[in-house]
This record gives sequence, structure tokens and C-alpha cells, in this order.
Amino acid sequence: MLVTHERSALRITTACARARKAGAIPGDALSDVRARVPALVVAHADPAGDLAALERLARRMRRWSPWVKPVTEGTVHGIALDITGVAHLFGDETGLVSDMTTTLTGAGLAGARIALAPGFAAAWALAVAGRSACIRVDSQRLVPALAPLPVEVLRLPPAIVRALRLAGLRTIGHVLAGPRAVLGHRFGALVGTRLDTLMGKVRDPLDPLPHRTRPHAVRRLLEPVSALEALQALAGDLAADLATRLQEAGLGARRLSLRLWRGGGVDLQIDAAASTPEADAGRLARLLCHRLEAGADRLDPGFGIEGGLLMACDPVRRAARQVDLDPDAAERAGAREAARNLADRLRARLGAERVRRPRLNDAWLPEDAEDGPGGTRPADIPALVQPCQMAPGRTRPTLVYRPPEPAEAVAEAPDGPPRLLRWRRQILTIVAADGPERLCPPWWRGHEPTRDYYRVETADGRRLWVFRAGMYGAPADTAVPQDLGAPPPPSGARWFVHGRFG
Amino acid sequence: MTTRPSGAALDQLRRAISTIEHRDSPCGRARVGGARFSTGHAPLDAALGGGGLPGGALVEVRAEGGRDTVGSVAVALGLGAQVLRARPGLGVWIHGRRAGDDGLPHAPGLAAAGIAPGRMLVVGPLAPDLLLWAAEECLMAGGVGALVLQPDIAPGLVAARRLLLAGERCGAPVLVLGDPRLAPLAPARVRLEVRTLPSRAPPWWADRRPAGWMMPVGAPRWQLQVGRRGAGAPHEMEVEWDHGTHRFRDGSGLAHRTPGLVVGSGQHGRAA
Repeated sequence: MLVTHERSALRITTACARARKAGAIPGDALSDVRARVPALVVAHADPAGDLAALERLARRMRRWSPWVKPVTEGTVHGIALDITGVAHLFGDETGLVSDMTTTLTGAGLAGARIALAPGFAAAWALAVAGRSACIRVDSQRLVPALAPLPVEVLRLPPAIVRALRLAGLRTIGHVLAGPRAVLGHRFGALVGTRLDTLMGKVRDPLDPLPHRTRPHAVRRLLEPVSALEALQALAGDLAADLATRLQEAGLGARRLSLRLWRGGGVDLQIDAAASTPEADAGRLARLLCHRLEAGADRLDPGFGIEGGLLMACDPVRRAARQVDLDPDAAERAGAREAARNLADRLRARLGAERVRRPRLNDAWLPEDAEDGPGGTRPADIPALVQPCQMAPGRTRPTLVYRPPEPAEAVAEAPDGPPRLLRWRRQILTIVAADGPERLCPPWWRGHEPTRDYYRVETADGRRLWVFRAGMYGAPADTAVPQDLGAPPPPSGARWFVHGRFG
Repeated sequence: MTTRPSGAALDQLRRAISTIEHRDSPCGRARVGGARFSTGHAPLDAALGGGGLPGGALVEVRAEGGRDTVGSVAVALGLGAQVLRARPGLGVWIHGRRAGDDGLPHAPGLAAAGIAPGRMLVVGPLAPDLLLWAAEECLMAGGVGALVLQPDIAPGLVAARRLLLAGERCGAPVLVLGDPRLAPLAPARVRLEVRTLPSRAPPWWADRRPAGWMMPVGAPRWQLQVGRRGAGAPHEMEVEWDHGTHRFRDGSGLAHRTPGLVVGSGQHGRAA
């Protein structure tokens, strides 16, 4: 059951069959219904989300007809399709309906009602109020099929519907039987218009959903080219065309897909990404050129590239930028912009996994406290001249080993710092130590042992960050650090060197 | 008959040509105007040439005598942090394939050292040719506050010269971590040799030493040999990292565990 806040109360907007049977009527206050039926499952209605979902569904229904429109009347949602000239693609109308039913059932919409009629108004009336879930009516049988339907299917204003019912005209058949002149005089001209539309005497064209195409640019070459410089020039031309289209639409592209047409029907695809939505021809071209250069070894143009298609994969609306009149702020903004462009170029040339911008996470375990290799997440490089504030009390090394390196230690049980450490085939005597700082893995990773971290200094001045995974005397199977790449431990505690303090 | 120009006139002419050659680059302005980045420790600034780390120059940081190289990495990071305090832009760390031996940058650690992790760009691991390409690209692009380069092999003379020119154009100091087993980087204007020293004991340790306790680890401390091209013998000094101010400070004095000594006291600690 769905409710919405209306007239100072939560009121029911939609109720399922069981709720209706239990006494929940749309329009009633939720508190009244709850008093009668306490075990109600209630959620807030989301009309905007419903409309968006209906539009998405309508776009997917383009597989049956390009002429599609979502329709909403009160709480009834539907999708109108103009199937003129498309039924034969599915055999006939029966095949079309069968395909539609199968697909909708597979998508979890088994309760959808389908009606085929000569006009949209008639199809809507049959789908909403028809006797069966799947109705197909031709123009000869239209009147008998529509006659028993209630007058609500005329989609008239509620006042007119009420007046019709008071006059005893409860079905379409009753209205059709009455004289048209009297109907128009008493209930208004709209009744006659709607009746004509319903019977297919007046055309009721659909205003379909506009087609959404991704911004793209296409270039065909007079002669095939294969040199890297020529391909870069082609990419530059495509980028210029695409940038013009993006700027006209006020969009920016974060991911680009360049498809180079090679003779023989095999295409080469090159993807590039930017950290912010871009619509500048020069930057788009540079990103593509770097990608082409980086993949030049693996790029096989065969007998030549005959043309290309450049597409913005996820165009987003670009936010307007405020120009800062403060020269210092403008300089900082310029530096941020330059830094973003630099990161994009490096990612394009070297690969996203080799260009990393460390980021702090609100986590205690070192592996979780920073992001892994950065991809092309939205770049929000913070103010570039402000020092970062670190939570007080945390001492962390500047350099860490990934993964931590196993070591052997002589230490006091149960939680003393190591006195002697064997690491990288060296025996290190520990002369100073801080700790332990106990870090526990999150409870949902219960198989991992707790870690006791120590800051230690060796006799020759090396400052290490070491930890003991597990406890002395604990069962060995619960103390195995699964993700640290260590051999199975002989006892319950294992030592690792995790970082260096310099 | 020709007259030989005087030394002063030649110097004036050289300065004029240098100004003309570099007047369009930030480094040209740096040379003329003296863009320097203070390290927070006056003797170190003086040893670096007065005023601190020079902008638009190659600065080589090496571990002394092939010892543990982590100290040199830490010093380079500390110097980079000082530059980023004064200069907008990203701190870029480009490393080769062997950098994992010393460890890789850790965001919480960078934050603890006063470097906003969001200002850092860590690039690598890269092959030597790609590493030099990336360094040059960063310097030519602008938007870089400081660059730390950790190559697997020392850049050749031509590559180092290209780096120097790109650095001059950018105005950012280029800190190159040198391999102590190889020849020094020729065009480097400043060379620092780093030796990791044991940290000093906290002031309260000698008086209230709890029985059975190990001494706590102090601030990182290094011995630096700072040499400048054409400036004679290198200066030697001991510095340590101040976690409070995120700057270098004087680290002279005996370490906490110099054996056999009873006398001698440092600035904060006392010999045991």
C-alpha cells in the first residue's frame, strides 16, 4: 500500500487487492485504515519515480514500435504504441501480442493488460476496463466491445462523468444510444468529441517520446590511412566535431569511445576517459591522441582505416562556472584545472591503474584507510594550498608495503613489542618501540585476526611499522591472515612489516 | 687595437643575457627574483644556497654509501611538503618498478606529514623511458607544485638536461632520488646525501624511565650532506622532522643510545 501526505494527513494512494479487501480504500487516511487493519505494509508513494520508470519502460518498448508514449490517467499508468505497419515483423498481430506478453512477464510485469484496437482511445478503454487481460478488436467489432464499458473510460472531467451517471448513462452503450444533439447540449461538446475519438471517427495521433541519441561525430576518409599521425589527425577532426555538438547541447563527455573502421568489416575500438565532463576540442583530441600513442604497438590498421565514429558515452550537463574576480582564487582555480588535465593525460597515456591520487577513507585498517588505484572517478581536487588535517593520535608511516612483508620476531607474550626481528634475511635488534595499537577488522570480516601495531626502531636507525596478526596461544586457524599472502602459520601469531617511517 | 673587457663588465653582460634567455619562464623570474622554498630550518636553508630549496632546479637526494634508501625518500618527501606549502599545484611522485622495495606512499601517512593526499598524484610503476616522459609531461603541463622522481636507473645526461629545462620552465623543484651505487646526476644544482640516524630520546626519558619499558620511538632524524654545484665542500648537519609543525628542525646532539658515553647532551635529549 502506498501513501502520500495530503490535506494534513497520510492518505492512501494505491492499495493492492488484499489491502482493498481488508478495507483500505484510496483516499482514506492511513490512521483510520490502520485502526481497522494494524498489519498493513505501507510505503511512501513516489510519483516522480513512477513516471521516470514508466518512461524507461516506454523506451525499452521501442523494440516493438518506434512510436511510443507513456500515458498516465489518475493512478492508471499505461504505454501507447502505434503499431501501424510493424505487426508483420513479428508474424502478425497475434505474434506481436505473444512476444509482448512473454517479454513483459519475463520483466516481472505479468499483470500488464494489453489491448489492440483501431485507435489509441479505444485501446486505452479496453485495456483499462476490458474483461480480459489481452483483447484484440478490429473496427467491425469495436462498438459491441466498447458498449459495456463504463463512461469513465471516456477520460472526461469528473463533474461530467458524475452528471452522466446521474442521468442514468452508465456505459458507453447508453451514451451511444442517446441523441448526439441532446448530449452536446446537456453535457458539453467534449462528450461528443471523446465519443468520436473512441469510435475512431476523429484521429487521435500520438505524440511520441523523442529519440535520445548520444552525441557523436562521424568522418569518412577518401582513402584509407594507417600512419599514426594520420589517425591522430582523424581523431582530432572527430573531437572537434563532437565538441561542437556537445557545446551546442550544453553537455560534457566524461567517457569517449572512438571506433575506427578498418577494411574488412573489423573495427578498432579505443576508449578514453576524462575526470570531469569535457567539451573542449583540444582536450578531447589530446586524450584520444595519447590513447592512440599508448596503444600504437597493438593497433593493427590492416589495409588502412577508412573512417571513424567518435561517441560521448555518458554525456552529462555541464555546470556553469563562476568566474572568480579575486586574482589569487583565479590562479588557484587555474592550477586545479591544469592538475585535472594533467591527470587525464597521464591516465590516457599510462593507463588508469598507474596514476593514483591517494584518498583518505574513514577507516582504521591501513588497507581500507585509502582508496586503491584510482580510475576516473569525478575529480574534486581539494583546495591546493591548504594543508590537510589528520585526526590527532594516529601515527601512520609515509611509506607502506603492499602487501605487508612477513617477518619473524622474538617478543614478550602476550602483547609485548618485538625485541628481535628477522626481515629480508637480516636480523634487526629493536631498541625503541611504541605500542601496541590494536586494530580489529570489521565484524563482517570475522575470519581476519586482530592486529597489534608497533612503531619500532632498529639499532641502525630504521623506523618500521610492524604488526602482530593474531594472538599467542590462539588457535592457528583463526589467526591466519588470509589476505596477506603469508604461508600458513605454525602458531597463532604472525609478524609483518607494514611500513616505514623514514 | 682591441681592449679586453673587465671582469665586472663580463659578469654584467652574462647576467643580461641570462635574463633575456629566461625572462619568459617562471624560472627566469626565479633566478632573477630568487624563488626559494624555505625548509623551516635556517642552517639547512643556508646550506641550500640561502633561502631554501631552489625552484626550477634539479635536486638530487641520495642515500649515503648505498645504505638503506628509505631515509632519502623520507627527506625528499619532507622537502616536497615544504614546497607544497608555498606553491600551489599538485605534488607528483613518479616511481619506477623497484620503488616497492622502499614502500609506496600511504595516504594517512602523507596527511600526517602535512601533505593533503588529494594534492598528491602518484604515478607508477613505470619503465625508465615512460618515467622520463611522464616527468617531462608533468613539468611542461603546469599545475605541478613539486615533483619527486624515483627512477630505477639514473637518467642519462641528455634526459637530465631535458628534465632541467622542463623544470626551469615550470618553476617547480625537481627532486630526483639518486641511486647511491651509480654516478651522481650531473646537472643537479643541489645534492643531498642522507644517512638515517637513530632518533633522540624524549626529554623525560632519562628521569622517569619505567623499569622494563622500551624507549619510545622519537622523531625521524637524519644526517645530511648538502652540496651545491660550484660551492665547494658540502655542509654536514643533522636534522629531524617536527611532527607538530611539519618542518625540519635541528637534530644535532647525541642519540639516545650512544654506547659508553656519560657526558654530552643534545638540545632535548641526554646520552645514556
